[in-house]
Amino acid sequence: MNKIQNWLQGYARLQVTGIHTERFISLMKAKEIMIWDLVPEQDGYSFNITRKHVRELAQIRRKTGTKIIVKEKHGLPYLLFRYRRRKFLLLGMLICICLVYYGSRFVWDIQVNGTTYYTEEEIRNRIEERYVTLGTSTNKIDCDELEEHLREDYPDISWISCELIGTQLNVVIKETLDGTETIASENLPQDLVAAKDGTIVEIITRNGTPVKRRGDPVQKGEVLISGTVYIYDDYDEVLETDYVTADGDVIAETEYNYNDSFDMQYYQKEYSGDSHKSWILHLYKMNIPIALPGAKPEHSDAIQETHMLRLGNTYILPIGITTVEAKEYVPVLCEYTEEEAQERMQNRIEQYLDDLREKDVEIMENHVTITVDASVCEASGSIVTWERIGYGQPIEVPE
Amino acid sequence: MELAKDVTEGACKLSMIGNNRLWLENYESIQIYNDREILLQTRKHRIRIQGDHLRIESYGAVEMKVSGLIQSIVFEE
Repeated sequence: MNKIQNWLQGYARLQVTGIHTERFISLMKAKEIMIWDLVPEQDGYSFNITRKHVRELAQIRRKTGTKIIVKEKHGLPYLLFRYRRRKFLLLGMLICICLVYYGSRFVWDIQVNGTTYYTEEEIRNRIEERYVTLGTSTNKIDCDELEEHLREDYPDISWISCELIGTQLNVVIKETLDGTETIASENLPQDLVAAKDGTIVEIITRNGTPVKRRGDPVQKGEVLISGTVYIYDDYDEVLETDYVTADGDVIAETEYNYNDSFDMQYYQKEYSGDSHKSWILHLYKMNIPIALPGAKPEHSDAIQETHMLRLGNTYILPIGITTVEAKEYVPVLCEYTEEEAQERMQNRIEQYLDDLREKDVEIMENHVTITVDASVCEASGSIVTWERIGYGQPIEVPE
Repeated sequence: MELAKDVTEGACKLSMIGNNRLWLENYESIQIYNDREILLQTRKHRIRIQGDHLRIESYGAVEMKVSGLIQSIVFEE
C-alpha cells in the first residue's frame, strides 16, 4: 500500500555528498521528513524521498554545505510532467483501457468441443441462432438454462456443460450413440430397451425385472429389463406394482454389414511449389476478402489459418484475419496395383474396426472379403460383434 | 499508574524479529552508517549495531527500521 501511495505522490532517489552528510540526515529527521532505502555510498548516502519534501532540502543543504544529486524520479506526477505535451496520448490510452474493460463484458467467441456425430459448426450455429449471439452481454447468459435448451434440442447428447471464461463461451458435450449407453434419467421410471437386433450374451440387472435371458434373440425396441416391478403376496397374487428406473448391462451379439469400394484409377496431386495467398478480414460479423492480383490456380489445396485478436487466453475480440494459401498442384492420373489396392482397402477396414472398438464394441468375427478387378476394388461382408445394446425408455405410469 | 520509560525519560525503544529486523524509536541522530556498523545517538546512550549487509530501510522523525544480519547491539555511555 505504501508503495502505491508513494508512486501516486511521486518520489525521487537522491544522493547527498559532502563532509556533514550524517548531519544532513539528522536535520531531515528534525524536520520530520521521512526517507527510505537509505544506503551508504562511497562519499555520502543515497535515499528515497517523496516529491513534496524535495524542496525542503535546499535549506538543509545550505546549512550542511553538502551537494544533492537527483538520481531517479518515479511516480505519477513525474510521469504526467514528462508527457505534458502528450495529453492526447494519455487520453487515448485511458479510452483504450476503458474500451477493453467494456468489451470484456460481452461474449465474442463460442467454442464447442466433444462432438462426434454432430459437427461443432452445427451446434455453434444453433446456439447463435436461438440462444446466444456474439456480442451478448455476459450478464444476460444463464449457462444452466442454455444447457437445458441444448439437452432438449439434442436428446441423444448425454452430457452438456456450458461455461463462460473471459469473453469465450465454452460448450463441452458428450454424445450418446444408440445402444452403447444406458441413460439413467434422474430417477424417472423407465424400461431398458434394445437399440438394435441381436442375441443376448450377458444380462446383468441392477434395477428392475429382467425380461430376457442369455441366448434369447431380441429385436430393436424390445424390452430387456422392465421398470415395472410386481410385488407378490403369500398367495402369489400381485399386491403392489412399483415403477422404477430399470438399469443394467445387456451385452448382445450383433452384426454389422460392411460395404466399401473405390476406383482403381485415381488422381495423384503433384505440387508445383507455387501458391496464391489471399486474406479475409473479420470485423464482428463482417467478412471482407482481400486478394492479391493474379489468377487463382485451377487445381489447388487451400489451407486456412484464422487468427483472432486476443488479450491473454480468454479475452477474444471479434476482430481477426484469416490467411488462405492455395497451393497449386497438377493432377496426374495413376492406377493402383493389386497389392496396393488390397493394402489400402485393408487399412480402411481396420480404421472402421478401430472406430467400433472406440465405441466399446468388441470384434468377435470378421467375414469381410476384398475383391480386386480392373476398374474397382470392393470389400463386403459381415462383422460379428459383442456390444451393449440397452437404452432407457420412459414408462407412462398410470394414475 | 506507572508510565512507560520511553515516554517519561525518552528512552530508546527497540523491537526485533529474529536477528534480521530491528525497529527503533526515540533516537536522535546517526553517527556512523555502513553495511557492517550503525552507530546511533540517543538521549542517554549511544547504540552500536554490528553485523553484515546492514541497511536502513526507513528513517523518520519517530521510527527507523534496520534490516540485515544483526550480530550485536551494544549500549555505550
